[in-house]
Amino acid sequence: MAEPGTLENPISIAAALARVAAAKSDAPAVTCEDKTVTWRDLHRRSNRMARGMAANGVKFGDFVTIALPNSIAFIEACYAVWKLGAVPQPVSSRLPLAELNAIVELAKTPIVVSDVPFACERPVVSSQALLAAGKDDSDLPDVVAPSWKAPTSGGSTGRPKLIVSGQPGLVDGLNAQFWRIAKDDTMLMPGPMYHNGPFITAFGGLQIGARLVLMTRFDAETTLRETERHRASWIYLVPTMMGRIWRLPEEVRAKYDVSSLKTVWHLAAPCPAWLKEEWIKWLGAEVIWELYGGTEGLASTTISGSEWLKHRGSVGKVAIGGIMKAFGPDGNELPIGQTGEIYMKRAQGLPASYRYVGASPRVINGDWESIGDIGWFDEDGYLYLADRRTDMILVGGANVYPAEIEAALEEHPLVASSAVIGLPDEDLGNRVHAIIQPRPGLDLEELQRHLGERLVIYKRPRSFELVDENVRDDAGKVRRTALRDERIAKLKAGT
Amino acid sequence: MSSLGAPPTEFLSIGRNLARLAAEKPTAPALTVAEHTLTFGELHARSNRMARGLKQQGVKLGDFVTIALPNSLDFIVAEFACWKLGATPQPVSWRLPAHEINAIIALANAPLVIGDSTTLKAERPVVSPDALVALSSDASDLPDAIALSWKAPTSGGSTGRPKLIVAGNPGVVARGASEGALWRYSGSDTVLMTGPLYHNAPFGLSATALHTGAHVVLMVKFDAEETLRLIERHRATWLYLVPTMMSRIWRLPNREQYDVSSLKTIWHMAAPCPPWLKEEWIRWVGGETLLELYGGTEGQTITIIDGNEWLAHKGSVGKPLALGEMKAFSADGKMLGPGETGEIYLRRDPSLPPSYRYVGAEARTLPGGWESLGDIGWFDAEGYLYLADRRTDMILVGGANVYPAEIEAALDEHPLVASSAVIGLPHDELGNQIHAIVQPRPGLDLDDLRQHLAARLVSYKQPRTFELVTENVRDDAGKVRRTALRDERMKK
Repeated sequence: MAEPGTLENPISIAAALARVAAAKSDAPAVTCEDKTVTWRDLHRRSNRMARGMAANGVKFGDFVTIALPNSIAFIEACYAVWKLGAVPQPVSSRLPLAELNAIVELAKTPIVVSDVPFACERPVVSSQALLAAGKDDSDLPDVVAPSWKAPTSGGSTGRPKLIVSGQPGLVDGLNAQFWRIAKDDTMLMPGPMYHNGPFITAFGGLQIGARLVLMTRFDAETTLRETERHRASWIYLVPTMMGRIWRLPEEVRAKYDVSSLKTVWHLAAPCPAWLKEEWIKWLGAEVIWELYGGTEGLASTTISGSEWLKHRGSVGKVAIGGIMKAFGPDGNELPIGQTGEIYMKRAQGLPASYRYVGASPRVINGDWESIGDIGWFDEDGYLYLADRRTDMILVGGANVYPAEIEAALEEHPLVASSAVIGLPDEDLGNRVHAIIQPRPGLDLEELQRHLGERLVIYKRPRSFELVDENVRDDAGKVRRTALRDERIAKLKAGT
Repeated sequence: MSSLGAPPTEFLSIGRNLARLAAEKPTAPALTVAEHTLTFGELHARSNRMARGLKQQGVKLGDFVTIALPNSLDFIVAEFACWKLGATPQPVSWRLPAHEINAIIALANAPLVIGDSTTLKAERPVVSPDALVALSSDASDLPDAIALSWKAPTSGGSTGRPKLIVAGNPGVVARGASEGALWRYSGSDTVLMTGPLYHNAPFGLSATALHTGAHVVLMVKFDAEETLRLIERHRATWLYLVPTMMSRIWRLPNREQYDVSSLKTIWHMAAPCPPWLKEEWIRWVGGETLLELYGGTEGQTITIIDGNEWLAHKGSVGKPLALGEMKAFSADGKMLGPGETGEIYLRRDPSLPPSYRYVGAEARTLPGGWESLGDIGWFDAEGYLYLADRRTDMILVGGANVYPAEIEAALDEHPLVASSAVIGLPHDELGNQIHAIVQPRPGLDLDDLRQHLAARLVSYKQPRTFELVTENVRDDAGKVRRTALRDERMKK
């Protein structure tokens, strides 16, 4: 007999919010710093905002660009968009104008929702103006958006594209279950909501009635303080955040009660093994969960802390729905244990998980697609990632993977963040160059000794560059292509 | 990954799913009626054209569209055309009297009726499938849309007025969770559908089979021997029956002449199956092949039992699925224990969204969300449900639900009928036949009364037998005691 859950009917995202609002009306839904909105108000205000958007020309099936920082208004705006059967298209609130205009042109959005006025090729409307334009806050006719999100890519190709989800604006219980979110959970979100990971997890929880606490920007100690203050049971992190929290002085970290945490997810970038191990020791193996996958949602792997201890360094096994394989440069599938580019596709009969607007997928052999990662599988089917293909450095014929060097650098207590790139070298083709954000007191000779203990000689950086700022962005990603291009331009200019 | 929750369900609109199938296997047969077959490519293209035709006629996202067609290729094409616009197909019998169809169209507020415009008269435009397809030669894909509800069949209802039972499920196909697994079909199956598509189960099961990529063979009208002939001809692997059909097939003298060895799954539902008949079928096709389902169109929850389980729990209709509960209650509202007989109430897990909503009626719900389908029964210690009888205010005629109040309302509308009561009397093949007890006024002519009813009721709802009495059949409170009336007739 089949699983009985197959007869559970999904409902629209709007109807799901209405159900939670009826059940938990006065309970807090979203908290951001000192502001909280109840479920009833979230539902009613997003009804009003939806009417405001409709008055500004938003209709069924439109993409609506939302350029708001983490805030209650961001959440309300997304719900307003869904309530019209439209598709939220979130972007950074600090995007350079040229990039924003390129995205807006792809999305053909009727309006850009932003609380900071600026000149744009489309009307820019604030969340307050949308609320004011909505004439009433009663429920709208129910509708299902044909896609539930259209984020932009991290931008590794240089030109922006939209990644339009193949999933419609529907809710069932299983999405939240996948992320280990129950309706009584309090989620803490230090990541930017316009990024895919924060977006899908935070809304996945809100859709079943879990409470969301948003941070406007990540800060290590504030994360611990907010965890204690709200008794957060679930948190989203990226490895950079884990590193900064871990490096807080022992007495600061110990000051806060984080025993409420039942699930910690980390995504978005490879996590150094030593750091992961420390977190497992600190919070427990059953609490720490990792996911690897692209915004495209073709396939993903997940791994619990306990599994990871048995398969150190792995990002997990492929979750149901997707297939992943390692391929050699000749396009042949590689056997177990051999390193190659990781290609993914949907399991047989599953719908397309996404479509691009503004780009074409990298496809081989018909329907295998790559998101540019290099790795291998063990005999139990666990995937181990070596690096991103696009950032591989060829040094005198040897392949050097920046992630490995960065992991070694960041293991040093006085390295705050780092990025490793290849710079042109007449002799070797490329040389390894390290960009480092130091903590006070970092000594380069001592660092080189530290690396000498960890890396074979050809992998050690030939040059070091010290910078004041974090070399990773808010989402914990390092944009090596951009960093490399800047350095090469300077070299050419002779500076 | 046992420690992780279930993987997220993947949904795609019914329209996109058909586009996927049309791309994957454009020339594979999707649908066959008599000598005509539509491939997946053709079904997709024709329903794209019909969707554009419907759009031109004013159908839009969220509308109900009444479909009043006999079982045919275009009935299914019309369903897909509606889904592709985000509209909800609202199936009705194509032989509904104008009176009844107008009441339903008014509830549905359908912009039009898809039907035979030369025979069907209604208060909204009736447009034939061919005319709709002729409106557009553009067979390309439409912008994606999702119907909020994927079906809205009707029910006569105990009040005597029709109502729509609007499914809670939207117009999407869930991949990964695979609804096909529950019904035991997949893209390699050939499904023989014997029942009328305007009934809930044939409508739902044929559509769901197509969503998995199965080949669906539709019968225009059930015929026992033709069923066996079609199984053999198409090597059908999956078959839908109701007990009346099982009985007619069983009684065929030349049953053994046909090769039905291709059958892997046979479902029966819609009415109680006499145990002797079920036993014969299990012996014939095997216990693992014969499956039974019990539940209502409202879909709060269902019970399922296969033939082997049934042999170990003879007479049971199975255990309820985990997404809801069923319990027996006494007349004074107490929940009964194993072995105690009472009215069966069911409810969906309250944390789940409702499985349906009514248009034109209020759900009769007890505190705690319990609802009744009007059946009497009991549970054994293992949780298997056994049905004893139906509460007599609904009559099952050949698997179709007939509500006495609706027939009585039609009878009482005649100026020469003083009062009336309608009951079901046992019938070998149909299970029940409709019997009308009428208190006439002077001058009532039965032929005239039959004509009057034919203008108001679809044929299966019309009484087979009439009985004239001199006294009011209702008590002083205006209530009709159908159980007592029926018991008296059964004794005779």
